[in-house]
Amino acid sequence: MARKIVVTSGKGGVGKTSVTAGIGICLASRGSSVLLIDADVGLNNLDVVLGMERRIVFDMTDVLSGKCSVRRALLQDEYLQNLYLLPSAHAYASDSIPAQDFRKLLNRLDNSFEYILIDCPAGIDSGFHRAVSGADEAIVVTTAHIAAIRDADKTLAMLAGYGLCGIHLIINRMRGDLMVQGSMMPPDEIARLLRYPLIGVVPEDDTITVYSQVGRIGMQASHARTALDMIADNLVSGSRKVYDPTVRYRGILGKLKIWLDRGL
Amino acid sequence: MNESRQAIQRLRSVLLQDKIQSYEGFLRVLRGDLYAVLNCYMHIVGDVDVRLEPQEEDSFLLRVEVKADHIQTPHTL
Repeated sequence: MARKIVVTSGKGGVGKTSVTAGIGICLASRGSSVLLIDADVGLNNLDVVLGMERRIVFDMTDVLSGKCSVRRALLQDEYLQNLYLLPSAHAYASDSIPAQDFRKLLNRLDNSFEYILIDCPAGIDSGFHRAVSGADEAIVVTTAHIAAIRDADKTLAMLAGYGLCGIHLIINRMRGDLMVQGSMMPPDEIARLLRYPLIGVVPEDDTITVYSQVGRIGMQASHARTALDMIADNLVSGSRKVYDPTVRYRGILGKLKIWLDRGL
Repeated sequence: MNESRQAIQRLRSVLLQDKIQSYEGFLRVLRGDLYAVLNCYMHIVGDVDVRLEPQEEDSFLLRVEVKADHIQTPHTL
């Protein structure tokens, strides 16, 4: 049976889709069979982030309406043979797919993969409830901005009512240079205030921005990739080792790096 | 620089305020519903007082106090 994990956030733009894709790639690189499902109907982007947007013939809505089998809608990644995507539809309205149909679809795929990661739409309306209803566990992604943490707090409160067997927290886009200078909240403090365990910290990394534009997110060696690998490790082994974004910015060399990064 | 410390204080305050406000909304609805139900069985004087007291281990104690000047007799229910 697959571990079905929904990746959600509440607030949009915190990096849910990038994190979903990144964790999926890291798990698949370790040899696990992984299915990524884009549960954002109408504003879906997982296909674009993975560079698969031109290969879509059928999507989740075609499967649910009986137009095609689920196998025909799955897209296999070109570089990782055990990574698949079930894309969503861009033209549909979010509330056109009932939660129970989504759950039945997930049950059909349960025995075919080790991990099913569900990219949840932003917000806490019908799309959120549909995505969460099919999951056993949840990852809430937030950044260190108060607005994002506030929305994550509300999302966590809603998830608590679903009886999930695990709820984890990822703090995305952490700036190690700002943390060292005391200008950004540390991730462990955010986790303490939200009262949920941290499963990962992902640093702000230009490679994510650059490579997501060409659809090769997460494939390159980078600090973000290291952090995502640690998250995949934690998911598999149950450990809680998180990436420390401040490591590069400590000491004299770290200060020099901060000055150079700022062009001083 | 202590922006981080200020941000933590501010975040704590925002999260607490949100929790209090969400309870208030819930209590407002509950108060209305309880008034409607209890009014079928008694003639209520004043408002229904509903209080939610957080306990240890994230549980709550709900206290309801209501004054009535007479109980409806059975044949009127």
